[in-house]
Amino acid sequence: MPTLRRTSLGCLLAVAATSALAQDNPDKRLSLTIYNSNLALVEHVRPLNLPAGRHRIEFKGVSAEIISQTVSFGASGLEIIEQNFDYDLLTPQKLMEKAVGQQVRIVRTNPGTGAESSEEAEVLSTVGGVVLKIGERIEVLRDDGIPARVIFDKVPPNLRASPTLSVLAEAAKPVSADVTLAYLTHGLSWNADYVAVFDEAKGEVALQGWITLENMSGTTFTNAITQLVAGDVNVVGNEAQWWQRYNQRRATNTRRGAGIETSNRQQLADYYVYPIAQPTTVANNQKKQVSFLSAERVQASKGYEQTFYQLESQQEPVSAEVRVRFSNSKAAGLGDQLPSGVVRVYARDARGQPQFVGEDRIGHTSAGSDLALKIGDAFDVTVQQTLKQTNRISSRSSEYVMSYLVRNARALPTTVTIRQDDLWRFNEVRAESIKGRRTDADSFAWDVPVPANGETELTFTIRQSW
Amino acid sequence: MSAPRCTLALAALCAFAQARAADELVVASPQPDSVAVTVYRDDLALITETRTVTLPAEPVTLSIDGVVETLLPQSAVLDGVGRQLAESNFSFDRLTPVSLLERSVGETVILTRTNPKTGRVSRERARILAANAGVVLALEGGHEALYCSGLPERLELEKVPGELVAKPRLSVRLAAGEPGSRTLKVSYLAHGFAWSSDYVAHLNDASDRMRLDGWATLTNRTGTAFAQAQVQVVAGRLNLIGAEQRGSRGDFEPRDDEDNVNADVLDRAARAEAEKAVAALRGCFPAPLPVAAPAVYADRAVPLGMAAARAKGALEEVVVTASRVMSREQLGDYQLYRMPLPTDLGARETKQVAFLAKRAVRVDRFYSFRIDSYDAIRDDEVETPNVVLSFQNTERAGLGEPLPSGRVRVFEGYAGGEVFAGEADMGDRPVGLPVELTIGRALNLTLETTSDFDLERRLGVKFTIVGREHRVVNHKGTAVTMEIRHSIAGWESLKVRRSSLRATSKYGDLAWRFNVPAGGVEVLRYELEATR
Repeated sequence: MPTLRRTSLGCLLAVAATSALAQDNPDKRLSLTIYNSNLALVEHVRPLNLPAGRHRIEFKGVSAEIISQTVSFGASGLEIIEQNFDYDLLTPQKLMEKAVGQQVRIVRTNPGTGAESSEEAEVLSTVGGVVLKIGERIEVLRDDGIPARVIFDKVPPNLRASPTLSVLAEAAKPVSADVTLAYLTHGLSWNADYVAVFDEAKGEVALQGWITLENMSGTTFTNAITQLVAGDVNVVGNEAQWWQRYNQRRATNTRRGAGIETSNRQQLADYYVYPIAQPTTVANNQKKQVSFLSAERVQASKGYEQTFYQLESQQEPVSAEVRVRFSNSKAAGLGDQLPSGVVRVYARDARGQPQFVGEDRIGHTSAGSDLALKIGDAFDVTVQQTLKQTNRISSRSSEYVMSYLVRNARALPTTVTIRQDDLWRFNEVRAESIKGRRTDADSFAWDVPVPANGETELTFTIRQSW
Repeated sequence: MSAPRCTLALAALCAFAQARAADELVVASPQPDSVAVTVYRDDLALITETRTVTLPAEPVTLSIDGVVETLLPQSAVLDGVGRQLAESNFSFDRLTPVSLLERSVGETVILTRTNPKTGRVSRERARILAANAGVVLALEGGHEALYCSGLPERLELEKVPGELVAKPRLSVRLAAGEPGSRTLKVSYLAHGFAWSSDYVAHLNDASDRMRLDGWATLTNRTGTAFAQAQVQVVAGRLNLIGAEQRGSRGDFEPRDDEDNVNADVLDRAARAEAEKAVAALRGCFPAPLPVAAPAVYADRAVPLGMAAARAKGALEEVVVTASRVMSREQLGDYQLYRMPLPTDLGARETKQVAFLAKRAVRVDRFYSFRIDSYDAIRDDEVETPNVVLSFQNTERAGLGEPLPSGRVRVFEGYAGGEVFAGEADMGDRPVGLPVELTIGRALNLTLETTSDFDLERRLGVKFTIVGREHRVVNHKGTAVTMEIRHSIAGWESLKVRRSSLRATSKYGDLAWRFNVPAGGVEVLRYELEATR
C-alpha cells in the first residue's frame, strides 16, 4: 500500500500531538437548556484522565448542528492550545476534496469489451468537477461517460461518520478531572401544546398543557437534565426565522387584555423556565411530550365575532367566527402564564365523546390575560353584508349606509359582535339601528342580539373623510 | 450477523437503542379493540381508539403500536390510565432506503457490481463507513463512494437494524400505580383523511320542484385499515393552524380534481421524500455528467414506489353504501353526521354514504344577467344570460336541513329520459338561508344591451349618467323569468332617473325582474345618475 502525503490540518495535528485520545466515555452529566427559537445550550461533563504532555482530545456525540463559535471547554490543570471543529462528515464529496494533491486509483471499465484498466492519478481540483493528473496527462473524471471507479487508499482521520469535536491541550502534570464542554446548537426546539375541552353548557374549559420537544440535531442526548426556557431570545442574523416569527405573531390575534399577575414558575432573567423533573433521553428525530399544566375547571364562554374591512356588498353570507374566551387569571381558575403554542379545542358530542372542534395559536401569555381563541366558523350563524347607499358629502367626504343581516339557525338566542375596521382618518357614525361603540381610531363595533332561529338586521351610516 | 455491534462510529446511534433496552418494564398494546374516526374537511381526522392493557404496579412504558402513520404526535391524548404520565414519545423510525443505510453504518454488506458489457457480476464484502450525503464504503482494496462510478451497483444487507419499525409507535412512560387491567382511550389527529359532500338534484318537468340527494364521499388515503369503525364526518370550517401547508381548500374554491381530494398533497409529499432520499444517498463528488440513472434506484425503492402508486389512487377502491342515510347532530357550531352502523374503512378506500334525501323541494328557475358599474357596452353585443336555480332552505319549501358545502349536479327530464343540466359549487348553507346556484348559460335566450351615448355625453364633469336599454329575446317555447342586475359599486349619491320597470335592490345591486313570453321580446330601459 503506497504511503500518503499528509497535508490536511487534522492529520498534522494528530502527528504533532504526543497522543490522541478519543473521548467516548458517556457523559457524567449532560444538561440541555432548550429555547423556543430552534436553539439550545448543551453542556457535557465528562471524566478525563491524562498523563502530562500534549494531547488531542476528541469528543464524539456532540450535536451535528453545533454552532462552533460558541464552544467552550473547561478543565482544571489543562491548557488549551487549540480547539478544532472536525465535525466534517464523511461524504463522497468531502473524501474527494480531502484527496486533493494525493494519489487515488482509477479503475475504468471499457463499455465495448468490458475489460477493466487501472491507473494511478493525482487529484488536482474538485471544484465543479474532478480534475486528475494521470502520468503526464490532465483529465476530467468521467467526462467521457465511461464508468470509472475511484479508489481511495485511506479515509482522512478527521472525516467522520458522526460529528466530533477535538481539542489540542497541554497538561503540565497528569490530570484526572471532569471536563465541561458547552456549546449552543440548532436543531433542538420546543413549544407548548394545549388540549382544551370546552363545555359550553357549564361555561368551563379543562386545560392541559404539554411541552413538545423536538430533536432534529442529528444526535441523541442520553439521560439529559433538561430545562426549557419560554420567551423569545433575540438571535442575530437569522432573518428568515425572524420573519416567520413576526408573521406568526401577526397572525396571532388571541390576546384581548394582557395580564399583570405573577405566577410561581421559576424565572430566568425575563424568561420563564420549565425544568423537566427527571433526566430524560432526547433521541434524534424524536418528538417528546411532557405535561406541564393541568387545570380542570376554568371559566370560559363562547362568542361570535366578525370583522369587516370594506364597505361593500357581498352576495355570499359569511359564517361568523366562533371564539372561545377565557382568562388565565387566578380568579378564573388558572393563574399561570402560558408559553406560546397551539391550543386544540375539543367539545363533547351527543354521546359524550370528545370531538376536535378547532385550534388557535397563542403567544407567550402572562398570567391574568384575557384570551379569545378562534376555533372556526359557525355553520349556523351567518352575516350578510350590503352597502345600501353611498352619498357624496363633499369632494373629501362621503357617507355609507351599511346593512348587516345576521341570521341564527340555532335553537338558542345569541349575540354576534360585528366590527367595521380600516375606516378613513376622520370617521363618525351618523345613525345606527343598535347602539355601537368605537373600538379604536378606525373601527367601530356593534353587539347584535339575534333570536333563536331568527335574524336581526344591523344598519348604520358612517361618514368618513380625509 | 449477530447482535448490533456498537463500534465507535455507531456510539451515538447505539445510545438510543441502549436507552430503550435499559428502560423499565414495557407493556405493549399491539392494536386497538375498537376505533372511532371523525373525518374533517381539511385533510384531517380525529382517531379515538379504545385499548385494553394490563399494567404492573411499577413504573412502566406503554408501547402503543399500530397507530395511523400520519399521526400528529402533539395532538395525542391518553385517557383512563389512572396514573401519572411521566412523558410521551412518538418515535417512528420508518424503514426507508435512507434510514436503512444510515442505521447500517459500521455493518458489513455485499457490494454487487455488474459489468455493463460482459454481464459479469462481481461480489465484494464492504463495510459502510458513512451514510450522510452519499455513502462511503471500505473495501479490501481501498475506499470508494457508492453510486459514483457509473457502474450498476447494488448493496446487499443481511438484516434490518432493530430500531427501524414498519409501523409507527407511540410510547408513554407511566408512573407507578395500582396494577391491573385498564381500558384506555387514545385519541389523536391524523392527516390523510378527507370527505366531501356532493348533491344530485333532479328537476321535474315544470322546473318548479326538485328531488335533492346529498352524498358524503369519505376517503382514507392512509395505509391503515379500520375494521368495524364508528365513522362520522364534521361539516363546517374549523380554524386550523398552518392549514395552507396541508393543502386545505376554501369552501368556494372550485375543486379542479374532484375525485382525488388530497391526492396532490400526498403526491407532493411522496415526491419530496423521494427527492430527499436521492439527495441523501446519491451524494457524489462533482461529476460533469449525471451519475447513474435514477431508474435503477426507483426499482429498489419499494416503499417510495408504493407511496407514489397510492398517491395516484392506483390502489383505490370505491364502496357505495346507500341503503341508509347518515344521522345528524349539532356539534358545537358544526354539523356532525354519523354512519348508521359501524363500518369497515379500508386502507386507501373511498366510501360514499347518503346524508340527505328530500323528495320535493320548491325551486325557482330563472335567468340572470349582471352588469358591472362601469361596463362599456358595445352596441352590437349579444349576451347570454346565466341559468339560475334558486331555493329556500326551509321546511316550508320542502328542505330545512343544513347543507354542507359541495358541488350540486342538476339533471332535468328530457324526452322521457334525463339530461345533465349543469353544476355549481355551493357554500355551507344553514337552515333559513336562500340558495342561488348558477348552473349554466342559457340556450335560446339572448340579451342585447345598448347605451345612450348622447345622454352620457350631455351631462359634463360633475355627474356620471348611464342610459341603458336591454332587449331580451326568448326563442323558447315557454315563458321565462329574467333578472337583470346592475352593480352600483363605487357610485355615490346614485339616483334612478327613470326606469321602464320598477327597480328593486338585490345583494346591493339594482335589480329588475320580469317575464318574457314564449317566442317573445321584452325591453328594459333605465337611466342612472351618480356624482362623479
